[in-house]
Amino acid sequence: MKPVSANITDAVGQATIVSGSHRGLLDKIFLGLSIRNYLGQLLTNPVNWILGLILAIGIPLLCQRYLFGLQAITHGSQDYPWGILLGFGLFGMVPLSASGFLLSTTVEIFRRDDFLPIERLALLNGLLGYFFAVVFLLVDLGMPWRLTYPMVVSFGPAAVLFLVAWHVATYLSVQIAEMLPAVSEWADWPGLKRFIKKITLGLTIAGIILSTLHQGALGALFCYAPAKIHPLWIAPEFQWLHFFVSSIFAGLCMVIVVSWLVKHTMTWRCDRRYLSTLDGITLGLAKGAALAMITYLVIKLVAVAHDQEWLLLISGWGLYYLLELGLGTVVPLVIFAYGVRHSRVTMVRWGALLAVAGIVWNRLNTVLICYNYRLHQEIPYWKELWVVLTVLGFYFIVYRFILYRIPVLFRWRQ
Amino acid sequence: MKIVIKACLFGVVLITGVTIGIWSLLAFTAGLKQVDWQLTELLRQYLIATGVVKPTHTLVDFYSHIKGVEYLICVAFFVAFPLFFKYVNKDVNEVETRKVSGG
Repeated sequence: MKPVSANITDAVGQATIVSGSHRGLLDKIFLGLSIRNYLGQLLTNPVNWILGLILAIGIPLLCQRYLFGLQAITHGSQDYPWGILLGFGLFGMVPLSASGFLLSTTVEIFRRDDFLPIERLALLNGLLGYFFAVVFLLVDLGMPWRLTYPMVVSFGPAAVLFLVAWHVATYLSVQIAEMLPAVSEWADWPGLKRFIKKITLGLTIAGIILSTLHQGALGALFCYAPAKIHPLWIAPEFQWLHFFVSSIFAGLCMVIVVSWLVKHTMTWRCDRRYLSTLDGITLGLAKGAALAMITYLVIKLVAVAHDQEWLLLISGWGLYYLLELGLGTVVPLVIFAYGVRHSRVTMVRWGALLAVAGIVWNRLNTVLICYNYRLHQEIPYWKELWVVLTVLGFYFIVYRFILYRIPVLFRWRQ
Repeated sequence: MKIVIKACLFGVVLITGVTIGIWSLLAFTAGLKQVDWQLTELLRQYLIATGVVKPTHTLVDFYSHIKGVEYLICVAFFVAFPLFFKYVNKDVNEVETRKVSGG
């Protein structure tokens, strides 16, 4: 028996790539299969069973959160207000989503067309990362009907959260617009693609401005409570810079990891251009990430010098800080430098995975572990962890749904 | 003759290196023993001895000190970054050369 992907390729592979205009909407959505066949292949995929299990427990927990309040699923308190829901979902996912503005700048501004095969994947990664960060935020805040408050009802311009809300909203709009050419190809709306092409430069520049400001603003958010965070994880003068610079290599590493996963799990959906250029592109991305990493390390060192925290480095928390920097930044930096110089693509990919874990670890340390470090340690409730897993499950489903259909990993031939 | 000079130079460098290595190992071990084998305490005393950590009494003293240390870090980075950039940007293109005889 042939694998599911082979069946789909047989059914729609060439037809999808050559011309989308002759196919109906249902054909496009169900990948050229009948509804019965489509549902059949969904049920035979073991990944879907795991997702089904996660959602079967997670959706009732989400209902519980909205019916009985946040305390029903988290240990959130005045001491630990953000928890893992925002520590991972917002603060962890946003730097990993910097890929959109980085690759659009590389291709559209610097005209590095050699990165073109991966540009749409980076844009989609950025769009979905930001979108699901908002979903995590909505699960944490509740009352989604009040989402418009900082937009039109009550601005609150003195708050950093006002900046974050506006940046996310406007940048999400920009990212949706940047993805529209791919959608227009899929939906056969050439006029829309022509219009977006005309304003691409403006969109890219808007993306740079909004994303850099927003990554920095997330760091600045911690200046609200500088005394609560361990001094090694907060440097008021440099916090925005740490968050911004770390987002550069975080976004690049996330693209390396995602493109690697896609290459192995969705080979049938990738065209020859993507598959043949991916190794070179991976090395190019790693080169950029390595330069951002060494800059980040030096800024971290300058922050330690600026706040005269040398003695803190040899305390227990200091050794933990050095462990985070060592495993999350120095080791990937060495791997990247060696891997790029000797063209070791697999090594670079593992290094990128380590860097992605490192950046999430850094954000969790800042938000949760080293936050109120003099009080009790917050241990997340299992329900909170499961809700995080549930939202990640939705993220995975949407990501896969789009990659299967929209021309992101392949080119639409005219 | 050249080989003899090279061997002598290598020997001198080797002996000097080994001597310095033994001396630093001894100094490090003796230092550790003095602080009851606590590595972090040894590091603390080293930071104080080298002036990285020192008591300051005025804001001007404090800023002069931290800016001095930051300056040294930045100067080191200005040297390190181009070297690192050159390292990761190694040109992998092979250049073919051949000996051309005659005019």
